Amino acid sequence: MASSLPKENEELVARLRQPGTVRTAFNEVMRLYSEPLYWQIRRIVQNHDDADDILQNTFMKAWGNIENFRGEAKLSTWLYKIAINESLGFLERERKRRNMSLDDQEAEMIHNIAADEEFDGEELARKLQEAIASLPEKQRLVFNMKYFDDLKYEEMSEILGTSVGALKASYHLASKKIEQYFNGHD
Amino acid sequence: MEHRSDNILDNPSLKNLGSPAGYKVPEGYFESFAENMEKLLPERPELEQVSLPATDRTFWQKVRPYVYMAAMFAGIWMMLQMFAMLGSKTTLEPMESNPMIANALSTEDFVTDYVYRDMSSRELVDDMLDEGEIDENYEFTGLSMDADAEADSDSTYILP
Repeated sequence: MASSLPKENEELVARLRQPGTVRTAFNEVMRLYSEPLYWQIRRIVQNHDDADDILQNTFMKAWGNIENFRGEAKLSTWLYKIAINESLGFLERERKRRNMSLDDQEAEMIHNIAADEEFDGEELARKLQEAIASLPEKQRLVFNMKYFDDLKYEEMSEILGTSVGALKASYHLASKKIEQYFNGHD
Repeated sequence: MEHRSDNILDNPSLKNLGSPAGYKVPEGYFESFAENMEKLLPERPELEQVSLPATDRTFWQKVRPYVYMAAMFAGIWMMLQMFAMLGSKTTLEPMESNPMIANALSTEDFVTDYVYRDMSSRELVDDMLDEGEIDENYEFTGLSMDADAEADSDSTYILP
């Protein structure tokens, strides 16, 4: 599966650092990255409206801190980091607001996928999303990044602040659990 | 021998799902998203303003800060001078120490020009009485106090 992230563009990064071109370059960043970031966020929060809000916040934060992006990390890694922090922050706020446990939230996610009439995929896709939703939060993140976006473990390590070894273990465990889910729901 | 993976995740049907993996978005969402976001982004003049390169600056623009600084120091110096002048005690020196005044005093014309010579003895005595410097019984010596005679002749006493 090919990566859905755009290739890193050095010229674009250079234009982000120039006062005269920073805005047009950032507009281009939004056009390039809105879709891959949206899907990453959507897989975490599931709901489109929530994903839309979080994506807006992600770009607002990136624009507000664009001078702090020094190019040491890849632009995609930097944006991913903001998007994931925003998404996890949103889930946490929702848990607090609705006085839910992490397990309750995961159960609700599985239920939402099963009951979602707008879900456009075939039965296999629905089952996969249910299986992903059943994973613990960290494993879900790792699995989504690796399976759908084909991110390298090194990049994921930078985004999530976890060692490469731990990420590999997480992905392996997540794959096993998904397989078990499929076997148990035949 | 053909290797066959048993893992469901290797199933081509799942692998081809791509990023959406069954989720839907409103039509044209991604096209309009970036466009709408461009309008939502706040202005950041401190970030977007282009500063003029040094070579494009005029001579006046280059020296202006130094001129302003020099003017400021000159102003401060003048102010300090003024305070020092106001603060110091004025010493009176004898008129003779000034060559111009000494020269003027040595000529008779100056004395006759600048010394008030038309004051009558009567007016002088009246003033002294008003000021309380003398009383009515004060005896004048060497000064004619014949008032009537003075009034008639309108004579004057020239002060030394």
